[in-house]
Amino acid sequence: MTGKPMTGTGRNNAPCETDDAFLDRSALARQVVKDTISKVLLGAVLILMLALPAVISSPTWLHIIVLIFFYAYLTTSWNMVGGFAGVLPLGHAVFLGIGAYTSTVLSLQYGISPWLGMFVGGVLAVAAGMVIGLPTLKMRGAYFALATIAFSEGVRVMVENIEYLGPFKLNGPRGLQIPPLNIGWANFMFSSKVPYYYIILAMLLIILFLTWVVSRSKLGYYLTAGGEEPEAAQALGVNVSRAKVIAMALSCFFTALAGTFYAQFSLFIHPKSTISLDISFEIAFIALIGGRGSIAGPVLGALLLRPVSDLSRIYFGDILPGMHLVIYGVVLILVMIYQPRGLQEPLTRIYDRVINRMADGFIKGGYK
Amino acid sequence: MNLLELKGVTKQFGGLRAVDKLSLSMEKGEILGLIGPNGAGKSTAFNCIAGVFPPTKGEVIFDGQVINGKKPWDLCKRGLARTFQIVKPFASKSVLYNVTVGAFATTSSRAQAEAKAIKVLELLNFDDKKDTKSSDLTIADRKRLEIARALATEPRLLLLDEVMAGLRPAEVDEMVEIIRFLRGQGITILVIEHIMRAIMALSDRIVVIHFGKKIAEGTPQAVASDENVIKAYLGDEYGVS
Repeated sequence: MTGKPMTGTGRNNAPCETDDAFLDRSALARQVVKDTISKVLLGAVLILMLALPAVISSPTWLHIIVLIFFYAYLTTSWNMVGGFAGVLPLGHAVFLGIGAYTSTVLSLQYGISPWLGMFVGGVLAVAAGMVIGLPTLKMRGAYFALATIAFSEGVRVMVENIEYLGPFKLNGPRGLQIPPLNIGWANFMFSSKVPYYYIILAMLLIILFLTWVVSRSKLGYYLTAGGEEPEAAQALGVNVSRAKVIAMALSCFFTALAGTFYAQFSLFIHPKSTISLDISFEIAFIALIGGRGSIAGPVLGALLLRPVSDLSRIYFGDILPGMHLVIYGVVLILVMIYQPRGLQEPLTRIYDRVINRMADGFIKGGYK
Repeated sequence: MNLLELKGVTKQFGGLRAVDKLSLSMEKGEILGLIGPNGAGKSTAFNCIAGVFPPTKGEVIFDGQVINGKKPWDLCKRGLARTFQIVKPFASKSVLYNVTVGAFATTSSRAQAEAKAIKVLELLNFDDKKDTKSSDLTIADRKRLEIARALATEPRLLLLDEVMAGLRPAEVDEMVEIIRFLRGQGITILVIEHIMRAIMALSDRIVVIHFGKKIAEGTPQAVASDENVIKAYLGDEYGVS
């Protein structure tokens, strides 16, 4: 009587354990297969990106693609503070402007290579970011956004109205023209769009990698925690303000680098084209629609929205300038209603499903 | 030696004196219950200890040092952790992510923090839910997550603010077990609670406050039969004469 259940459980247990072990092992194998597929896909996309200029000969299309990468880069920089830290900066163009003006003034007046000026601009942008960030990052929600708008607009009006800032010639509303005299890598100046394409591609890859590193680090965890529940985060040892200030510094620095790129790409900068709220808002639009606080969001957003902007400028430019902002607004409303976490969420789900199906196919194929 | 000591702590909000010259002390390894009717000043006293705001007067001494005006994140790194009455999970993130944030208090490496978080989850029999998004948890599990996160910071003193409110009786029993288990791990615990059954079973000593003032202190039995306490909870006409 007593023996029966004992043997029964004994018999049941043995296959159960091996089943578990088998499941564990196959789950692990599946994960490895999925990781490999992801890596192969990523590699394929990379190769495609590197080969793209060889395929596309039209400078117009290359220009549009460069701008897509440029905005993806800008939005990814913005995302460090606007996405992970949970605040909404709406004046990021001011840091773009600081980067553009710094490297341009240094190269025009002192003959310093824009490659060096780029980093000087980055440091200056961090300083400016601290001026605005230290007192305002503690504010919640709309107040921080309003403070950044005010700061950015204030700087634009100032730059528009001064010819000289100390010894530096800013040339007021007429802006600065960069004469394309010394073309070449040393001067960050090219007659073809192809080098610009590779430079912005490299910048984008670096900032994406950096975002990935940050999001997996202590700083990334602290930013997310402080952005979602500041009080709870503080009780868990997070100095929320300090984390936000660090994120702001990183964001300002990398945004300014894009400013130098823009200056060298267009060879002409003026206050309206660099320190403009249009750019600040467009960055925020791209981030919100693509998905704030994710790595893929800004890239997806730029990929989807930039063509809308360029096409609407081509087709509606004369009749309805600013049409792209109206379209952005409509898209934003729809996204906020149906996908409040941005388009990256459904797209990531689809991507996961595809990867899973491919992994299934591989594993089944392997057993046959 | 006392791990926590309050000496004449007073907290004034404008004209309202929420905590009035409150003194108490906690020994290492003790569970102290802090009770009182609604609005008695329990949470204010609690917030003064946890560094949310400094006391207007008096001293809070933790581990021999005055901690008045120290910030919550500094206190956390010294070994003082708390939970929130209204739970505040990082809603878009998994249970493991939530606990890892706490574990970062003692390390900067993600691998180490995550390993420690998993250890804490295993300790609380919570590791089966580590990948669940914290906004999908039941209220009982959210309270458990609050404790897990606090625990991951390796506290010596744990402040629990109504971790049993809103739980079913079976869940309350489970929580009592968890708190006892934590004390067994050498953690000193201050509990604010409204569920008398639980606090009577748990506490070594109980401090009762009313209108910000301490009106009784002692073992659960002594406090339960104290005249002032019965008056405070039930009104004057029920006072034992």
